[in-house]
Formats: sequence, C-alpha cells, structure tokens
Amino acid sequence: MAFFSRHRFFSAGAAIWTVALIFFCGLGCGKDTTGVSVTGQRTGVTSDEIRIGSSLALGGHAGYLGTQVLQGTLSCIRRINDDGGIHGRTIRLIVKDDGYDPTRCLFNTQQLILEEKVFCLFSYVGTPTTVRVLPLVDEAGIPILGMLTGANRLREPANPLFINVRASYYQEIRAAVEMMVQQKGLDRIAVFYQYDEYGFDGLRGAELALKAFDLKPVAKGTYVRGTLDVVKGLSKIAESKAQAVVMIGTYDACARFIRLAKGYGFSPLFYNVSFVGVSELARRLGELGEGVMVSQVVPPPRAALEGKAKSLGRELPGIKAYMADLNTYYPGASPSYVGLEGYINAKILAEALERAGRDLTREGFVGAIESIHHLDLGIANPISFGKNDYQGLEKVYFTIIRGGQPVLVQ
Amino acid sequence: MISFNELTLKNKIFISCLGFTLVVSFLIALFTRSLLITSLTNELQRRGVGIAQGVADSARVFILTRNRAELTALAYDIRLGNRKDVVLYAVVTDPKEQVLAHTFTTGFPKGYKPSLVAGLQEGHRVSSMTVGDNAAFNISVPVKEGIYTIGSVQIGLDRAHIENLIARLRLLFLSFLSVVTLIFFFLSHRLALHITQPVTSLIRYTDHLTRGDFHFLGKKDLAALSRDLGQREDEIATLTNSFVKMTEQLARSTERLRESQKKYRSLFRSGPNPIFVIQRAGFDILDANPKAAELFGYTRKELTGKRFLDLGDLENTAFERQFPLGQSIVISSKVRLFKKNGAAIFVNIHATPAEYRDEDAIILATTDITELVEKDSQLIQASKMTNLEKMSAGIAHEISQPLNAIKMGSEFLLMMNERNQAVKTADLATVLTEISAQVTRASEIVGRLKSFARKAEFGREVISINACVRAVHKIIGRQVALQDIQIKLCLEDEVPDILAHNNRMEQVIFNLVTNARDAINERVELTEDARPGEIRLTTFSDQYTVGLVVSDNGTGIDPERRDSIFDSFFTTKEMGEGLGLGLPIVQGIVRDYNGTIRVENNPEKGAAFTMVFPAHTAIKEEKANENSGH
Repeated sequence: MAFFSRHRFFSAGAAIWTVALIFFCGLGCGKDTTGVSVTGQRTGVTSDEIRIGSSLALGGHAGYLGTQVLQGTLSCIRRINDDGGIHGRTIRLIVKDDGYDPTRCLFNTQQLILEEKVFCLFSYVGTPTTVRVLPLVDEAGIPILGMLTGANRLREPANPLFINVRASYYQEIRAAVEMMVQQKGLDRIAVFYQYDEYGFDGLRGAELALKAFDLKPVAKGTYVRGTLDVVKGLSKIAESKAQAVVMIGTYDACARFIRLAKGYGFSPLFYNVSFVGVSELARRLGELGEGVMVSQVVPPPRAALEGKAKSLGRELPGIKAYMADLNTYYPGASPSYVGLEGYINAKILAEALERAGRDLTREGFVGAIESIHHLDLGIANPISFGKNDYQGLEKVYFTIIRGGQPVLVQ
Repeated sequence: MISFNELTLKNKIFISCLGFTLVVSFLIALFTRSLLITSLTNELQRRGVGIAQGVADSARVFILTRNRAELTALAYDIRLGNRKDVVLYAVVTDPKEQVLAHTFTTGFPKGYKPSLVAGLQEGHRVSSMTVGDNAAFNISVPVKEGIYTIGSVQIGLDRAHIENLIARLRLLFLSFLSVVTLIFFFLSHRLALHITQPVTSLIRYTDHLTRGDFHFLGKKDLAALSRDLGQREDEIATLTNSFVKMTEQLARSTERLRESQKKYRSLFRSGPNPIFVIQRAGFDILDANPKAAELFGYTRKELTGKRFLDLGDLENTAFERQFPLGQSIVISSKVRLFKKNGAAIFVNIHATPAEYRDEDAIILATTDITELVEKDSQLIQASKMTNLEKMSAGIAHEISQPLNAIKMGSEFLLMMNERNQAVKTADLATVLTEISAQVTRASEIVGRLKSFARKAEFGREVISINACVRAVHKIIGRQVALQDIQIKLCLEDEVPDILAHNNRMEQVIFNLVTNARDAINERVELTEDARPGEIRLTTFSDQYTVGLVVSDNGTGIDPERRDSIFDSFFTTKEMGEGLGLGLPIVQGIVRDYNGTIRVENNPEKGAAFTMVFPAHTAIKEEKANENSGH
C-alpha cells in the first residue's frame, strides 16, 4: 500500500504524538499557587504615625539585654519624635515582652502583625526567639530590622526582609579564634554553648574558624537555655585541659561557669560573644571577671572610654549623641554596648524611613535600606547595605574585663 | 476504505501493535486521573488527620491552661518545612468554635469560619472549603479530656497541592508513554519486517516452484536463503528449512515420476497384450496401446472415443462390481469382441481401477484366447461325440422302432398287394397315418441328433430350460426306462428364460442323467439294494434366477471325492468305461452361461446336482436380439 509507506507513517505518528502531548500538558497544567501576596505594603502607616512592633526580653535570663537595648532605641526614637518625626509622622514603638521564650515571641509577633498591624518589626533580642518568627516574617512580607543576634540564619541566604545591623557571630568568633591561635599561639580550644539555636550557631562558627587552622574543639560543653546547669559542661571542658574556651551563652550561665571554673583552679582564656552583655557579666563576676574577653560589634560607649583605659584619643560624635539622648530621656541610666547598639539600630531605622519618603511602603523601605552606603553615624564604623547585603556593620571589637570594667583592646 | 484484511502482513502487525499501544495508553491515561485523584486525595486527608491528631495530643494541656502562646507555637509548627505546601492553615478552637490559636499571619481569609466542633465525638471530620483563593479540605479533630471535647484542631489541606502533583505525574507518565509508543513504533516496524521479509522471499520461491521451475534452487539460491535467515532459530527458520527440504523432495519426486512415466509409457507401448484405458463413467476408450490397435484393426485415433462396450459382447453390468482397492479383477473370461473387419476374437479381460488425467478410469488388459476357445469348443464337440456314442444304442433303438413300425406297415401293404386284396380305406388310412407319424418321429430324432451334433453358435439365445429338459427326456427317456429306472419331471410351470444354447444345455442335462443312471445301476449291482431307480428332474425359479436339479437314488458321492468330481479326468468308473470329461465340461458350460453348479448327497442315498442360472429379463432381450442378429 503506497499510502502506508514508511515516511508517511513516521510523520503521521509523530504529529499525532505531539498533539496528544500538548493536549495532556494543557490538562496537566495546574494553578500556580506560589508567590508572595503583595497586600499589606502600607500596613501600620497612617497620616501621622508609623507603628513599629518589637518583641523582646524585658525579664528573665536575657532581661538585661532587652531593657538596655530598649533604652537605647527609645532614646533615639523619642528624640526623633520630639524633633518632628519623619515626613510628618511620629514613630510609635509597640513593645511586647517575650522573656527570651521563642513561643511567647511567636505569639507576640502574630499579635503585632495581625492586631497591632505594625509597619515593620524592630529590635528583637536573641537567636531562638528571632529565628522562631522568621516564617511569619516571610508569610506577612513584613521587614524585621535591627535584631540583637548574630545568627547566621538571619544572614544566609540573604533575604531583603531580614535587615541585620550587627556583625555576625561567625565574624566575632572567627576574629577571636584567629587572635587566639595566631597572636596567643593557643591550640587547645573548647566550646561552651547554650543548647539551642543560638549555641548551635556559635558552635558552628567556632568549628568553622578552627577548621581554618586545622583544629577542632578539644571539648564541648552545653547548658539548657533558662537554666544554670553548667557543671556537666564545665567538667567536660576542664578535663580536656583546654587553653581557651569559646563561650556562647547568656550572662548568668556564663558567669556561673567562669566562677565555678576559677573556683576549681581551671583558668583558661574565657572568651564570650557580644550577646553575653559584658557589663552585666562583669558585674556578676566581680573580681573573678579579670581577664575575661568579650567581643563587641559596636565601639565602646563613652563610659568605657572614660574608664581607666582612656585608649581612644577622641570622642566619637555618634557616641556623644547617644549619651546625650540617653541622659535626656533616661537620666541616671548608664550607657552600655547593648544600649549603644539599640541607639544605632534606631538611627538606621530613621534613616531608612526618611529615605523612603512620605509615600511609605514596605517595599520602599527595603529599597531605602539597600540604598544606604557608607552611612557615617559618627561611630568610626561605616554602615553599608546593598542588593544582596543586608548587614550594616562589619567590624568586630575586643574588650577585656579589667577591674570589673570592659576595656577595649586594640 | 481499505479493510484490515487487505493489508500486508507487515502492516497488519505494525498497525495492530501501534493501535494496541495507543488504545492502552489512552485507557490508562483516562483511568489515571480518577484513580490518582481518589487515592491521592485519600492519602492527603489521612496525612492531615494524622498531623491534626498528633497536634491534638500536644494541644490538650495548653487548651486547659489557655496558653495561647503555646497553642500558636503548635499551630505554626504544623506548617514547618515542606508541610507548608500541603497545610494551608492550622487553627485551634474551643468547643464553641472560638479561635484560640491560628496561623493566619496576615489575617483571617474572607468568610472563614472554623467548622463545627459539636458532634465531633470520635475520629475526625473532613469537609471541603474555599479559604481565600484556595480550595481546601478542612480536617477537624477533637481535643478530648476524658470523654469531653475541650476543643478542636482544624487543619486546611491545599487541594491544589494534589492537583499539582497529579499534573506532574500525568506529564511524567505521558512522556514515558510517548517514549514507549515511539519505541514501539520502531520495534513493531522491525518486528513486522523480521517476520514478513523471509515470508516474502518464500512466497517468491514458491511462485518459482509453481511454475515448475526447479532449477532456480541451485546452491547459490539456497545459500542466499540461509543468509537471509541469519542466526534465526525460530519458526521462520524452521519454515524455510522445511520449505527447502520440501522443494528438494519435490524435485526428486518429480524426477522419479518422470522416469516412472517413461518406464510405464514404454511398457504401455510395447506390451504384448492389448491394453485399454476406459472411462469409469461412460466406458469411453480414453487410450489404447499399439498392440490393441493392431489386434482390433483400428487405429488408435479410431479407438479413442469409442465406447468399449461397442466392441463386442460386453454388458455394463460386468463392471458393476466392487473393485478391491488397488487390485485387478477379472471382468469376464471368453468375451467375444469384434475386429474392424468383423472377425470375432475371444479375450479374457482384467480390469484395474486407476486415475487417468484426473478422471476415474479403468485399465483393461485383454488376453487373446481365441485359440483357447477354439480348442475348448473342439473339446466340447469331442465330448459330444462321446455322448453320441453313448447315445448310439439308444438312438438305434429309437430309430429302429419307427423303422420297424414303418416296415410293418409297408409289409402289410406289400402283402395285401401281393395277394391282390384291396386294402380297406380305413386300414389304409391307419397304416399311412402310422407310417407318416413314425417318419415324423424318426425325423424328429434325426433332427435332434443333427442339432445336437452341430457346433454351437457363439452367441447365446433365449431358451427355456423346461424345453431342454423335455427334449432330453424324449431322447433318452425310453432307454433309461428300459433299465428299470423311472424319470420324474417336476418342472415349474412359468419358469423364466435364460441366456444359453439349447443343444449345450441338452448336453449338460444328458450328461447328468447318464451319470445318474450309471450311479443307480452301480447301486443295484453292488449293494443289493433293489429299490427301483429314480431320476428326478426339477426346475424352480425366483425373481433373478432359474434353477435345475438332477437327483437320483444311486450310490451317491463319497464326501471326500465331492471336491474332485469336477476335476478333469477324474473318474470313478472302470478303466475304459468313462473318460471323466463329462462333469468338467458340464461345469465349463454352466460357467459360460454365468451359472453355478453344486452337488450334494440327497436323503435317499443318491446324488443331487443343482444348477442355477441368471434369469433373463425383458431389457436384456433386446441385447439378445442384437447379438443373435450378428
């Protein structure tokens, strides 16, 4: 049959097949259900007010940090409001206490977003708490700014909604380990960490930093967040005869650790990340705090300078402003690293709101952040953001407790 | 429209395979949707129920303590990780559907209401809902403390999730099917060729064979065939091998047949006997060998087409016999046929069934027995002469009586004449009448003798057996009676005629009667049984046959000898008394007339000879008339 010649059949078959495929493809194509909602851009913005939400620890094991950072932040915000606000709007900060409990933080955040209808989230404290609300942040498309945590999770992968100011724990710990190994020639380094997201992050940072020198932690000790059960971890680390201990914890647990260690005659180099809150740590340790190292992400506030060290030759205008505002709105309160951090966070918030203009949207806000390059807030530490850079500060400072006070190390 | 049966084998296989694949694919695709949707939906719901129940356990304590923060944390945990795709929302309610915790971060979707908690005693409830822009399955699970429901955990499962999954599966499946179809496309094509190519070659070769062209199957072509086969060991290979073997066998058979044909053709041509091939149906001569043509004086051409029965005295009934398979039978012996010039010959005919050019035929071999028949006839004649000798005394007696009577009469007349006395008219009449009657009688006897002595004409006549019996009785009756033997005639009245000759028939009866007489005399002499002798002649008949029995109360026949009495030269008589030719001749004559003869001892201690002849019916009468016309 000529009709059924090979070529004819081939092309007929191929045609049928293609049509069938397309038909079935069309049937199969379902609705695309991914994609972020574009509503809520102007939530929390009224004609005269911008509502900002914050959930942080005002009591409990990290209560010092929360209260301090809030003082610093409010000093700045009240100044701005008193100066007329931003584009005719005052900033109203709605604060909820979560006691460093991730569950309460989650609930607070839901309230802030749903009921308080805030424009953005601000000044969260702690890794476990902040990390807990990230899904909500993503779902609501609400920016969160100025978190008091150096957790890697907030920085990688870069997310325009997670706007970090401080340097990361990885950066802090790396600098510390480098200093220990290279400057002090130490090689037996242990890690003591809080058994949660915060501690794990720090552990990872320490391991990564040590790996660069072909080292591993000689011992690892933990404690559960909210408790002071440090003995087990201490004994493990003490047995290992570590020369230095990288500590990722809160001030109360870390203070107890150091006290007990020194009590047993175990006296390696104790190093803490900035979240420990050096002032509180020093206060609790008293004399036992001598020689304890704490890294910082902001320059020392004036109080430190005015201490015995007097290392820096000149005052930084930014710090001056902090101390002035602190004095105005919280007379009698002592400046602290954490407080300064809060102040700086608020400054950046204001800058971004300013840059976003009167027609304020969340998208515009994020864009404004991204436009901040080398912002000089007078702290000898330029602030830069960018398209894929959502961390403002990069510098790490070292302080050592001397005579019950943190002293900057050059 | 081309019907399926008209396609080539290759296309048949091809289209069948393809059609089948497509149909199956289509059916599977059809069923996939419903099957997939049902099972996936069930799976999804089961999963949702599982999640909700897990949460319900953890939620119990927090509902009791009204710890909304923990409940919210639980709710959000449901949507952790990749569960986010499946679970649209999670809600914890109190028994009055008041929301205690939920995951609607940006607010409740328009018109959302938790489903009823009341009645949610055991298990779970699944309902369909539209939540915002999404279609969902709402799964409600009760949170119980003891037997009381203290709240519910409600989860929304994204139906689009399933549909996406199905779409992806279907696409995957379809691609797979397409690839399979494509592969099948080529495979079936190859398969079809694999099968049909050798078959096509075989068809070509068979065509050659049909044309009788055996030479193409040279070594070269066989090699080509095996090359085509390659390494195959399947049915096609077997077929091809069988084909080749068959062809070789066929070639050999054809060769053998050709040789055999040559052989038999030469036999046919140069055989010493005339051979005819005649049609089974109409007895037309299909072929004749040269000897036949020579013998009958016709050319072969003249013979072919003639009816064989026209050649002579043969009836078609002769062929109405069962031919035992493959064997030849004797159709007739002493058949009279005629040459072209009218001369008569006698033949024995042997027939064998055969096939001649697709027709049912009979091969007839004829053996010329003309000389034999002549001798036979001479022998009969000789026997007749012997009989005549036996009859001479009787004949003399028979004739002398009328002669004496005539002499007496004529002497009376002479005496009257010498005495010059007038003879009374009445006396004259008496004497003359008596003389005339005696002359007639004597002439009769002479006439009978003449006819008896005459060599018989060959063609058979219609005769009455009763007449023969009576004639013989007339000849020999008185003579036998003188020997104290009574002849009884029990002749059936309306006996049908038979085809025979009168004088031969009489010869037969004469022979039997004289044998009977001799047997009775023997009995009287040897056994002192002085019963009066009796010879009984009986005729009988039925629809098809006529019979004659000659029985006596003589010595009878010894059972041991019964089989031998028909043998030539067998005699129980003394040397010089009889030749022993009578009974064989009798049997020969009886057989000539298609009759049978048998002998038995009868109860009166004598012998009985029974002869049965075929009755002659009216249809045959015409034939008989024709024959007697020759």
